[in-house]
Amino acid sequence: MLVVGRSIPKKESWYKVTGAAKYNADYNETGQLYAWLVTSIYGHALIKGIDKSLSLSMPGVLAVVTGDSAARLTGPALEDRPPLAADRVRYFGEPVAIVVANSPVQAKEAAGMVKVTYEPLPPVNSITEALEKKALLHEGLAFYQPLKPNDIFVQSGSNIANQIKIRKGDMARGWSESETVIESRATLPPSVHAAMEPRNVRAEIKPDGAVFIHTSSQGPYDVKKEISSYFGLNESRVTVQVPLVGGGFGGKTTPQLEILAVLASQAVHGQPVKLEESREQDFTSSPGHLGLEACVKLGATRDGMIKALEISCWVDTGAYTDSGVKMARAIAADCAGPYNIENIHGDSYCIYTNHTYVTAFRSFGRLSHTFALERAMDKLAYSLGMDPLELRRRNLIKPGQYSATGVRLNASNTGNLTACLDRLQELIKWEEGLRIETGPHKVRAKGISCFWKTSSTPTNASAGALITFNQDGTVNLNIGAVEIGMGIKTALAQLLAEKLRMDINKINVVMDVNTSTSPWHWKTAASMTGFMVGNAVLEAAEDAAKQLCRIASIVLKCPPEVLEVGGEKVFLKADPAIYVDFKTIACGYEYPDGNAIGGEILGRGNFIMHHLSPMNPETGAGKTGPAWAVGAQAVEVELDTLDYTYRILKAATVIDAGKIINPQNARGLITGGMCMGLGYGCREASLYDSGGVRMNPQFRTYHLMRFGEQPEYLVDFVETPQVDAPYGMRGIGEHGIIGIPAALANALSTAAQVSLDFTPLTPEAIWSTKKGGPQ
Amino acid sequence: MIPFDFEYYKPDTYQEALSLYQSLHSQGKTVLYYGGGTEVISFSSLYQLHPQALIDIKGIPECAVLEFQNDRLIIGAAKTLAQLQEANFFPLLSQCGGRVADHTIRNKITLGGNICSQLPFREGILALLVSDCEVVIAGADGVRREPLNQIYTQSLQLKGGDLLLQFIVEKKYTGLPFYSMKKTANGDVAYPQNKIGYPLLSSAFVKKDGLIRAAFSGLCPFPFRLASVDNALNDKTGPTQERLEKVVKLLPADILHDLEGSAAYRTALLGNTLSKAFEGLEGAESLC
Repeated sequence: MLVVGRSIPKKESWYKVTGAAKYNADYNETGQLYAWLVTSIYGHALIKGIDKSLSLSMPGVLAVVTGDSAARLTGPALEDRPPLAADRVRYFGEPVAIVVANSPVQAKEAAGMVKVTYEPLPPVNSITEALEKKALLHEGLAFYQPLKPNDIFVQSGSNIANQIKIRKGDMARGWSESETVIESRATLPPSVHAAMEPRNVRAEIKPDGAVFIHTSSQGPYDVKKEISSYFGLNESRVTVQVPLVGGGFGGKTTPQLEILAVLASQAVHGQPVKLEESREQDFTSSPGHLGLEACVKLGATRDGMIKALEISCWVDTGAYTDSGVKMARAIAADCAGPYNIENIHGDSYCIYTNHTYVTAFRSFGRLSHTFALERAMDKLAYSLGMDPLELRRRNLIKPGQYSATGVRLNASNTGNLTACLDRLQELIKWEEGLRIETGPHKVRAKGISCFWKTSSTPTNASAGALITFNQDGTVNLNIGAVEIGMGIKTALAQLLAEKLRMDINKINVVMDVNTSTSPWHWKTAASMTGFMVGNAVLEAAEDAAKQLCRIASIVLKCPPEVLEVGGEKVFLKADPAIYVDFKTIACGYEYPDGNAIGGEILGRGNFIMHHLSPMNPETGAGKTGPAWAVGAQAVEVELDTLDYTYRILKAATVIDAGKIINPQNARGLITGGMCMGLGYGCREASLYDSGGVRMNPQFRTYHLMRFGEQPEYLVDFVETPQVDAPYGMRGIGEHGIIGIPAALANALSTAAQVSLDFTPLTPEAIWSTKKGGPQ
Repeated sequence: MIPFDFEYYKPDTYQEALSLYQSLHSQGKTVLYYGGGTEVISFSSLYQLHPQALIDIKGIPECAVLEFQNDRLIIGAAKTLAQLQEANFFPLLSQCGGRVADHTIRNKITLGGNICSQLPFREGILALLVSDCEVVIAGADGVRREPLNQIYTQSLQLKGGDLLLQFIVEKKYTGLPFYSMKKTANGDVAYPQNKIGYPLLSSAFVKKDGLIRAAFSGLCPFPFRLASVDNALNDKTGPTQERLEKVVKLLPADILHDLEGSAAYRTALLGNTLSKAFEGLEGAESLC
């Protein structure tokens, strides 16, 4: 391989390290106006009135938009969310009005002058309160429109927005074969994405009604679709442009602010309006990461073979479903983890509460579910008196066995988890022992977790790629994948360079995505971009190569079949000294007499998911993704047993990556995922008071891991090719996070010798659990 | 983004600052002296503060001093926490101030601003409370020097318009053996700083003439040093646990119980910290 497998620096790196990179909010439009959101100060309340007169009288204020101008409901799966709350607010921070003014300061100041009269309602502050029906959040639940038929199973008269069932095998047999049964509960709070770039958008409606949107989004094509559907425009009237995105982590996968910005622009006769969220608004008004409660019951034989799994997961989706209904489904599909379990009874629920609504978050729910399952695995190992790594090894799923949803596994669609676990065992020095006392009141301990994740895209998710040529024979690659920081544009350029056997520096990747000119890509999510867009790029490269060979065959006077491309040339396979340069033919070939043939080569490629099927409503049977990426992770901690503070010494991941396209980048992605998992595991949580008001909506009080706290990160790869993926690669963008909170909890539980079945694992929480106090 | 207008002044002398304050105040304006601005900016952007006029004190020569004069360390109120760390004339102060926020923010936060903060932590003051520090204040009646321990109860007792100019610490205090620890919801903060967070308990202990002096932040709604607590700490007649119980009874306010941590956990941390401090200062003697 020439380019694939090499650590090519990211195409945009120089821009980023010099500060020249521009993000969406860095751009301004001539004549641009500014919007600021008025947001709910209650978790749950009726809106009795909105007095905008004072606000409208403020200097520079042009419009105040309220919910009555946004009567239609929206949502990517179930239309249950008003873009602006009209008569009721369901979460703290929910947008209630938009003020548009000449300057950002005027907009913000006037936003403080919009007088909203509320009548507070009792908030549903937890999954338990939701199930007890402390209040019903959506009386009209039964009447909400799902975007697809038979996709979502609401329970009217409750706060349950979706239920997904997994019924596999024979539970009675499973329990009767089990000699040991353990039960485990886990609780994980909602949190925030905390992307470095807060969400922001600009919108403009041209005099002819065409809508232009510039946004920080992972799903520009979904924004286009949503805006056209919401405002009754055909899609050709809507253009969405996305430059470099400063981190998404799933939080920018579904439209939200875009609708508000268009409403704001509408109110000022289509003038361009910029709507930027403050950090506090990004944390409270825009969607966050789900919370989860889970019950796991595992049965196994005395020698550790798992015979039965009963698992219930309740996803806290907050006030609206957005992607919550899909994440509940994704959790159900992967509910057995990477283990061979023949008898499974699983239920996954999506639950409304008065928390900020949720959307996709790195791992699409798997990190929370994995926490619950992997804590249960450790408890099973403990109860069997077995090494937790050995218990996992015995039960790892293998080719020929079936997933919880009935997908038959093979090496290509699953990879080799046994090899990952073996390598992890060496890397983390498992043989040193799980728990070592290292000094007075100091204990070192290790914990592990396995993980797997497939995708949960629509069954018809699609991607395209377009290759054009410059007159000097260099190449432009235009794709709909958004660069969120993971290096996807560079990876795709590597695939193209490899396929055309050319210098990657002669490939220009179009950095921005423009929905009018870039080929459609479902969205940059689900760790599927390299797979989907990559396949499209390879097809486009083949298409371009074929066209190049055809023109070259005329120039070189031979059939195209005897030609090959490489080094920006088309040459004779049998004699590379006979060739023609790309630059001579890529934009048309001119004969010495001036006559010309050909024209610009346009390489086209696309990809659409195949053989995916929705899950059966009664059994869950179905195929949600083309393949899994599997791996094993470990965390080592040193705990102070006096005040239960701890240091995270090491975090390790071994993942079957299929084929590594860019080693440094892959290492960075996995390390970043681990760091994020440690942060969520040890300290992150969105906290609410009894009134449903968010108590920590800013970085002063919402704690993230700091640079100085990073442990030693160990990353290694196994490469079992996924045969239908570009050069065998697997999507691994999200996966570094998945098992880390679980491995951290397993390590700390071993160190403190107490079951820690929750996050965040703060020193006080461990201390309190150890003392048997309230948790 | 601060969503309102305010007046901004940067006087060259403290006399000018005082007269500006008086005149703005007499116009009915909310006036604040302005140091690093980290609180003014972040609180104002959330409407938690609404100053109508700011008087920046960074141009006042007296506020910008940082040097030993004879046997005294003079610290201008506008010196930043990062500058104090770099000079490191007073290691205990470097540590107490050097675990506040992060380095970028400490390039802005001034010692005067930290001590007059609206937040309950103000960790810079811990080192000063155990060092018989004097405070130089410019007020309507001229410049005066007051012992910190006399004008500090829960906060610096300044009169309206009083301008904090300097802190004076005798050199002998800057070299006392000390123990200082900051504990947060996410664990201990090392020095140099490895993590960030508000203290559940931040503490400074020194040993002077064989006796321990201690100051605490994060435990109560304000930092404090109490003679009664010092006495209890130095009373070695009972077991450590008893000393701890005595200290808890002497605290000047209920132990904080908030988002960062419970009162019970803070109490436990206090016990562990006292043991560590005794251990650390056992046998230590002054180097000066």
